Amino acid sequence: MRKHLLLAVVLFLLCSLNNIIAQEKVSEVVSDEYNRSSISVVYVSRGDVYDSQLKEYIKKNFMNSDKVTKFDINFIKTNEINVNVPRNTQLTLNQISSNTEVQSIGKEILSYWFNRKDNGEMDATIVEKRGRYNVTDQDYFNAQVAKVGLSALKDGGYKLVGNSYVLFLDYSNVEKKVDDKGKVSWTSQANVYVYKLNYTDEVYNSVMNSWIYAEDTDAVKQQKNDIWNNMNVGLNFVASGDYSTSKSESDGGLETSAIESYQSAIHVLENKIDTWSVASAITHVKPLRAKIGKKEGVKNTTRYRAYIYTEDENGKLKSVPKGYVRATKVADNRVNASGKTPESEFYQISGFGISEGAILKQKNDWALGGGLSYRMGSFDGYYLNLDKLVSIKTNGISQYALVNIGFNIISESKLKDNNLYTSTSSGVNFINASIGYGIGIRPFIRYFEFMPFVLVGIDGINVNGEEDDSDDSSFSEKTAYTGSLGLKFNMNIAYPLQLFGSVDYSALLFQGDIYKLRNETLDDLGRKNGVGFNIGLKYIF
Amino acid sequence: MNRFLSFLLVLIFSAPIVFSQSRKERKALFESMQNFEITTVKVGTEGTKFVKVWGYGKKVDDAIVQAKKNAVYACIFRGLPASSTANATPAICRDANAYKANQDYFDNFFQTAGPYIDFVNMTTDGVPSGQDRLKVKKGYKVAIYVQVMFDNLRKKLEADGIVKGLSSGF
Repeated sequence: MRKHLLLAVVLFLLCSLNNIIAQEKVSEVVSDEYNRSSISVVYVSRGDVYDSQLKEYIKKNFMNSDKVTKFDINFIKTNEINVNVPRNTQLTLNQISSNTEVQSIGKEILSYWFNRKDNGEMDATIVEKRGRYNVTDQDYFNAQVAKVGLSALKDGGYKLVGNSYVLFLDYSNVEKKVDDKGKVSWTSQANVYVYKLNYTDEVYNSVMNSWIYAEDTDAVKQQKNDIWNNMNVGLNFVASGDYSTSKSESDGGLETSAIESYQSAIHVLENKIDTWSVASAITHVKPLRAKIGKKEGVKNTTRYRAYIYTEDENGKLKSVPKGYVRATKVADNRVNASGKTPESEFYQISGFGISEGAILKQKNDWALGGGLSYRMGSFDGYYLNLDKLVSIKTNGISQYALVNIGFNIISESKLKDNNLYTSTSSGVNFINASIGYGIGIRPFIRYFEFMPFVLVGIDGINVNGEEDDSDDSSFSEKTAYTGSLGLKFNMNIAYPLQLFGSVDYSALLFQGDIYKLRNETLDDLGRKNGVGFNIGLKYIF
Repeated sequence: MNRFLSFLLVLIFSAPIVFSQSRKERKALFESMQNFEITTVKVGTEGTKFVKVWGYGKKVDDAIVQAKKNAVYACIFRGLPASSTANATPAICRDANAYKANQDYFDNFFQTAGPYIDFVNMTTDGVPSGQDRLKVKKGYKVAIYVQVMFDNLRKKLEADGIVKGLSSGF
């Protein structure tokens, strides 16, 4: 009874969490505009042995325009600032903002945008190229019927200068660990502090007034150089994000850890910085399609929320969420738009019918389901069920990686009731851990997903207080290998909260000697091959 | 108790009157040829005007049709407002009573798929989307990008004797 009460409390807490999140109503009107942003990554040097390696990874991966497609890259002279604080200490914003090397970055960004040379001459090559690349099909059609024509499309680049960001990338808690078997792993935490270029009208005018042409006289050049030199271009703090990952040496060690922690921090920041959140209209339904793709950093499983707009009798605009979709087939649209931009495909995973014209707004998640369940039948007990969406197709067929961790206790009194009480035992507990693979199918409606799955794992029986538990018996002697084959279902209650359940056949594939002995001793209370049923609640993170 | 019942009855019987009035207002709102917003997007190519115009309708398609009519209507009777990139354009018909004076002509001109359609091209990419597609009570309010063949429209109205030719005043 106490166990069921515990499960009920946990489920109640999960439901409450969902309610709290659901109450976060969309108070502001969601923007339907998206323009490309540009970034410069500046490494925060802590002055220790890791600096040279980490700087190299940044140069190779985050300042490489072939690898970073969603953002344009502003290459600036200041690619490193020094903050000599031990790496296990978190930086404060003031330590970045007050750094003397930061003061020149704003002007360096403008120099890059306008290709300013040492003699002060500038040109608009980069501005125009980026302006043209940012154009949508609608802009293209508009330009076709305007007197200024298609040549004016590149002028849009001037407004993109204001979307320049500086990412101060700091790594803290860099740690090397060596386990008992000599296996080496690395942990690093990426802390990304995002600042935006303070590109005011005053700055814009100063840039235009300091634009030196080859034909300018020396006096004019001097005057324009003075304007440039006296110009103040600041950076404003926008948001920060951090993420920590560990990687074994065989998986790439520190380099992979540093890259993944940075990418995950960006993943977090995309939800915090609205201009980074891609927005695009649904152009077609069945299947859902929108004119975004690799250019906007779309990847399979990336999540978007669909909105429609309403206007009340007082003319007040409101954005109304209609459900979530995931990108399935990603179009390669990394070309200048000319009215025929290829479309990516999406699959709706929650909500109501989405019609053409609705706006998709990027809402990143980890596509990770975390659930708690109770299992009846064979291998009964309480389970933590994790599933990670690996891929999804336009028809809704998905692939999942599964992890289950189970726990159960047989109390002393229950042992006594079954005549299994010994003076050395104060109860028995079971621990089960398994990994697996599942294929999600939505045959009828998007709210309901079936998932045939297979799991393999290990099962352990621990007798509380028994001396054997701390002896030298090998791990394999005390455990059993298990296998399960079954069918799971996931049903949206109030997405991202789901009800899930499963039915499967689980079997002991191999039993260690000690495990076998304990299991036989427990008789009916022990692990048995057979059918089991799971039911629980899951939250998608 | 009786007083409460009387109040309730009055409330019930008066509700249809109140709501019918608001229905009428809404109907008038949908049907009004003058109740719409229009902005000049950019200077259009030779002889054309490039505008963004709003329309109402029970369905999105109805609202698009209405918006096209509105664009032509604005060019004939209201004129087009200036924008940061384009000057204002005066109406083709300067006479405020021109519609009433030629009621049959314009009723026919603006009937769905009527002659007005020859003077308007929608340049919106696909269907109106995002904040250009608003769900309102009992319908939709949509904005579309439209190219109006302004010079051709003027010539047509001159040829049909609705407006005087530009040269007639000299």
